[in-house]
Amino acid sequence: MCLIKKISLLLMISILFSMFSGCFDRREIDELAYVMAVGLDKGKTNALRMTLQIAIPSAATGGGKENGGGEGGSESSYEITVETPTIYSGINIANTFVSRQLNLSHTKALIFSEELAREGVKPYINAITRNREFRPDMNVLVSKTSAEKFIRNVKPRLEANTARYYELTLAGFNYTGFIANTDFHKFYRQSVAIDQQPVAILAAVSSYEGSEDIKLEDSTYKDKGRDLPFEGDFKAGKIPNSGGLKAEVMGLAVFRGDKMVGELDGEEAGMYLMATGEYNYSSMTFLDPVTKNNFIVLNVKQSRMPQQRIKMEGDNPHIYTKLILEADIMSIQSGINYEKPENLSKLEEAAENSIKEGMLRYLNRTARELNSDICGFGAHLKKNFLTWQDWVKFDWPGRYKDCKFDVEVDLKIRRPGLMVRTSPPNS
Amino acid sequence: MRDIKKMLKELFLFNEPKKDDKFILKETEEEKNQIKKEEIEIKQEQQKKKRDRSVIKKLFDPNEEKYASSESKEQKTKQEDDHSQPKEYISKHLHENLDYMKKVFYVPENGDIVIREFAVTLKKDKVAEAFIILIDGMIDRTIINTNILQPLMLLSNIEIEQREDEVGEQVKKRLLPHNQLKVTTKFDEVIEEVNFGGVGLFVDGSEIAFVCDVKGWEHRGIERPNTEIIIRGPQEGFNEVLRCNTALVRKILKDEDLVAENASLGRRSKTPCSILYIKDIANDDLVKEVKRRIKSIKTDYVIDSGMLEQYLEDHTFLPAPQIIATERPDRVAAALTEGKVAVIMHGSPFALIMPATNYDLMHSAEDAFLRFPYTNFLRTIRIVAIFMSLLLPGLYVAITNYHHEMIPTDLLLAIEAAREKVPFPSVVEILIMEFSFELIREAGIRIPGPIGPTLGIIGALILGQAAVAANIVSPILIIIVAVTGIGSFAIPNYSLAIAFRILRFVYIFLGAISGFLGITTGLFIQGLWLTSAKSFGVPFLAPFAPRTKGGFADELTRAPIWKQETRPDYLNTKDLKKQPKISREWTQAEEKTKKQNEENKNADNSKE
Amino acid sequence: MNKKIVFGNWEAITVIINMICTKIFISFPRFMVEDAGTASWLLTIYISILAFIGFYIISGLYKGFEGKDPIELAELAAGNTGRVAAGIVLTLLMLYFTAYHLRLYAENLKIISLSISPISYVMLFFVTGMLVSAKTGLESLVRLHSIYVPVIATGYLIILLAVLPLFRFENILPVLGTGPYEIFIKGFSRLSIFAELILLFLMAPYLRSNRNLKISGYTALGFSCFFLLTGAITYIGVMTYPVALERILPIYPMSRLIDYGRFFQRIESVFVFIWAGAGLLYISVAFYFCLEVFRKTFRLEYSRPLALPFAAIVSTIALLSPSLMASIQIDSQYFRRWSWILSFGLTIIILMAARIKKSRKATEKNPTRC
Repeated sequence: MCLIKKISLLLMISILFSMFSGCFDRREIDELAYVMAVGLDKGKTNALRMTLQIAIPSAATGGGKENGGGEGGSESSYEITVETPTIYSGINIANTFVSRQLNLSHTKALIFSEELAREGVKPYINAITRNREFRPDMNVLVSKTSAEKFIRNVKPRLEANTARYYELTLAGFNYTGFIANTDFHKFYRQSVAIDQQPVAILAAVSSYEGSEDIKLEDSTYKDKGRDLPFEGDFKAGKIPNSGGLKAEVMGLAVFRGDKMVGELDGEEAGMYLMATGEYNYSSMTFLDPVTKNNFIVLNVKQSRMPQQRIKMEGDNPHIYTKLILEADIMSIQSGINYEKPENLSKLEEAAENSIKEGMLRYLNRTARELNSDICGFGAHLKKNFLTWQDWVKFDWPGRYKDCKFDVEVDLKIRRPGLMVRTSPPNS
Repeated sequence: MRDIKKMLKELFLFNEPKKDDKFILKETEEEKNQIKKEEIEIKQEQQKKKRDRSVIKKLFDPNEEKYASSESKEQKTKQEDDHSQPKEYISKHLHENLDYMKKVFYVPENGDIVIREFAVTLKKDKVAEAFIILIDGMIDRTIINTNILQPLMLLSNIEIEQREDEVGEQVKKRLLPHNQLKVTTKFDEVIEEVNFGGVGLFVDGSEIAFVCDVKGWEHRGIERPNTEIIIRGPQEGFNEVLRCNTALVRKILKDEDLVAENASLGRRSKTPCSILYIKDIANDDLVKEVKRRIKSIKTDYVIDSGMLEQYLEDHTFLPAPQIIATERPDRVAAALTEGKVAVIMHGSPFALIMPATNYDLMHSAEDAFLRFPYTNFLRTIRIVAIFMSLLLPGLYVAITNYHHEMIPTDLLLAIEAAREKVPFPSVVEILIMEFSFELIREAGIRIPGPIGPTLGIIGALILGQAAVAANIVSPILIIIVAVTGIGSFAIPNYSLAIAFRILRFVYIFLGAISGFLGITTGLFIQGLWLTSAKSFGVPFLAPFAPRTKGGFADELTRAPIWKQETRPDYLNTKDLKKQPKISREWTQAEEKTKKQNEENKNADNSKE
Repeated sequence: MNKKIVFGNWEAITVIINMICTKIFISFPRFMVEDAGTASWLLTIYISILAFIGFYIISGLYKGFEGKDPIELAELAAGNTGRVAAGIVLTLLMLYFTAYHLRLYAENLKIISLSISPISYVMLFFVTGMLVSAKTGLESLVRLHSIYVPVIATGYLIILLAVLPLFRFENILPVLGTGPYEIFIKGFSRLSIFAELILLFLMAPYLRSNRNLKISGYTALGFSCFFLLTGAITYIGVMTYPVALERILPIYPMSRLIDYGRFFQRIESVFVFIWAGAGLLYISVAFYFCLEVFRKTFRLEYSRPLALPFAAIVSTIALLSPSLMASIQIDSQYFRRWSWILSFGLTIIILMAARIKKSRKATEKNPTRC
């Protein structure tokens, strides 16, 4: 008898327990609103103008049949903007008019406006690091147009779910090489480190309405001494396209510490990836070494990590980089039979020279113009120091601008695609 | 009020632990004498303690003593009453015996008691009255007619020159050609045998009675086992007849060391049962303990081994069973060779194997018959199934209520969209579905014949479908509940499956009150509960906690059959090895023959 | 005691590993970084060697005191006063272990998952586990270790392996971090990381022989050093120097970085399982020995009636410190600097005293020998 009583007492206690604990941390999934992206601009009336992109689950899963059939498909997310002194006060404000409690644990992108980034992002990234809801794998973007405008233009066509749009678009560097992986943890780590400076993905809203509007005024091809812009000679916002999403990403924003100091275009972003060893594969365009006016397209892969050495020549560091690349032929416009082993070396040499030139141009730009060691060469120098104090005293960030660079590229063409020889056109 | 006070006191105040001598399986035989001494000492101490305690109790609670004394008095008087009636020894006079038997069996009222009176010719002119007593329906009539009545009544006319006072001897030696004959002087034995399908024979002028075993009742034949269905391996199952079952085991183990000791259970049912063990393998202490427990059970009736299991087990409240019930003779035989003890009960097709550890419960009878990789694959699946059936709904509740960041975004939005129109919190939702699933399962057993499973499936389908359509539950939850249900069917042991079905609700509750922390605490406490448990002196999580040898040989996973050389370490068997280090001698044969050849050659050379 | 508990080496090893290594989850790698900067791994190796030396000395001194725990030894050395003094010190040590970890585990769990629940509510789960284990006793507790600790260790190693792609060798340079003085002189006091080794000596009566004590001690220390070293080196290699100073829970942010494709990520909540499991085991063992030491000190017959009052005391002590930062400060600046004196120093002193007393007795018995 006593046992039954004991059990019933335990049951009673546990039921009571659950009743008053029910109000602590338990949140049903459908009591929360999930923020997909957070955009931060300089506020007009306050310190910040914060834009939150909130997922609409019924549309995101295609489940809401009633919602479908609107013009431009059902919207999978909607955006709200608040003027606020800090991030969390903004979320507080937003919570008053969004019916569900905002939850940031599925945020995929953090977007700063260029203006804010140039002033410094330290106050905001500190707040974000401290909160467990923000995940370290969300990407950091810098928008050339206002962050609000960028987020409002993210209306994915292919994906029902905005989160997937961010995940896939921002992982696109694996096959384009025009942006980089700039997850928040990396960004934060590099913003406090002295051996490497952070970068963020450059984003913008396209400035062209239709195909007729496309102009080349902002392309960087002239600086590189080209007659025509190659695919990488653009930055976000000026990509010559129409019809896709207005929101686009290309190039990188370069930071020194927590302040943005400059931009890289698509090609330089590729060089950044190659120099850090994160380059996966993408097609690159080269000028034909013989005819000089035809194009050759190679699919370039980075087969091994780059070999890097730093020597100190007096007070000036001398950085030596060797890139080891592989390539497959994708297109030979001129019809010259480059597949022939004798000719192949010509092609390889041309590609090597082109990449070397681009690399040197990029490295010199980071040192002289941007003065920011985003490739992390400083890490190689650390082994010369015994203690951390010595390393800090050395003042690497201050010395980077005096670096000399030496680049060697070792590119091997491995496969010709489906064609093993090129027949010249019969003319 | 007072009860609650008392209960709270018991919960929160300290009670001196009862010093009961818990049985622990000790290691070697050398220690035996020591153990005996200790046991005796402990018992003496206990008695002392009891006396002491009763003194203390007297001080505080004078009523207690009165109760106890009055009870014992009642018992005494009852016993006296009982003892005044029964006669112990058989009388020389037949009519006394007859009267007594009639009284014992309530003959005029009792319809199925048959008493057949007849005469036996002992000498030419000397005729002795006799009668047989039997219960109709429990005996084989032809045997009685041809082997007992015929020789006594007809063949006794052959001339014999012997004196009167050796009537019994004469009947036994000359007149009764039946093979299973028991001679006794006590009524109790006769009654017992008659109750169990024997026939009692009383002859006038003799102080002994004969009991012939002529059991011949109707019973089920040997069929396929119903609950432990396997694909590979023998397909015989136990039935309800004790001797038939023991014979099935002996058929597999043709070992003269296999002992089947008899015992009987229940004051009224007097169910016979057999304690099976292999004399030169099983630990003596274990056998003694099993016998001690069985013989000490005082109850009216034990009908099935399921009841016996409850009387024998160590921990009543432990969720997991501590004795394996199986209806497969091959499984019993395998357990016996490992050094375990089996109890087979008359009237139950389930034999009990003890001791059992947690890992035994995860084994299927088939495991030993399948090849090494298959068995390990199946065992892995089973372990996964066990964890799923125990934890999956709890984890679902914990994740959807506390750990949203864990779900991939796409899935999260899908769950959110599915839950959009569901009015209940997910805990209630999952409780509704789990409850209806249990309902279908329970009802499916009751529904007669072939409709059962059909209704189960249709019920589940329609219920799930309708519940989703009516926005009572979300579709993802149906998947969770279904997977959990299937997982619980994959658990080989029926009792364990039920245990996990109950515990599942606890984990749902824990997951709902604090997410993963609650579930971890639950696992921790359940772990403590299981590790502190013992089954016949063997720690319940034996080869892993405490760690002993051979945990991976045939407990959690199974080593190749030629590598399973030792019996389970925790059983402390007399014979440690199952097979020598090299059990497949053919693998060595070639080298050996080579060596032998070389030796022969050398020998030849030296001879030359 | 009427029934003597005895358990095997494996159980003892797992208990000690868990006791020493749970601090990887809550503080250890950060402590190392705080002291030695990028050379945190070097400091770990250094203190591991020190711990081995310490254990070598103690196990050497243990000769002739088979199956005796420090309290019994103190009684041998200085009679009842010695026993009570040593017992009180050790009880306080165990109380600190229990209370501090109770607070820290509850606080940290509040940080990573139950942010709104009151601290007492989170603590309630740990206290429940602690009380249940005090009821079921040491035997089932150590058995539970022998099952759970391998699972926890596997989970921990999986986390480390999964973040290995983010490991950069350059991050553990410069080699000497904050400098040799910080590492080798100031770092000596970090031997207190191994303060929990005292439990091994308290478990000596259950281990029967000195040989078992030695085997379990060395194996447990070996495994612990391996786990500590891998934890320290992965933490500094993945999180990099200045960031590594900031993180309150060292392994948790690392588990958040695990990202293999779009599906196999966000698994840090699973971390709660191994983390809370390790915490429950730690707190239960510390609490059990707290009761046990107290019982032995005052020669009580049962330790179970102490459970509820002690649980109340432990919870109160745990809630004493006003903030999490204050508790971490106390642990890092005071306790983990000086507790080696208690666990290694005290044991050695007691052993020496007992040895001297014993030899003196021996000489008194047969003075002709010397």
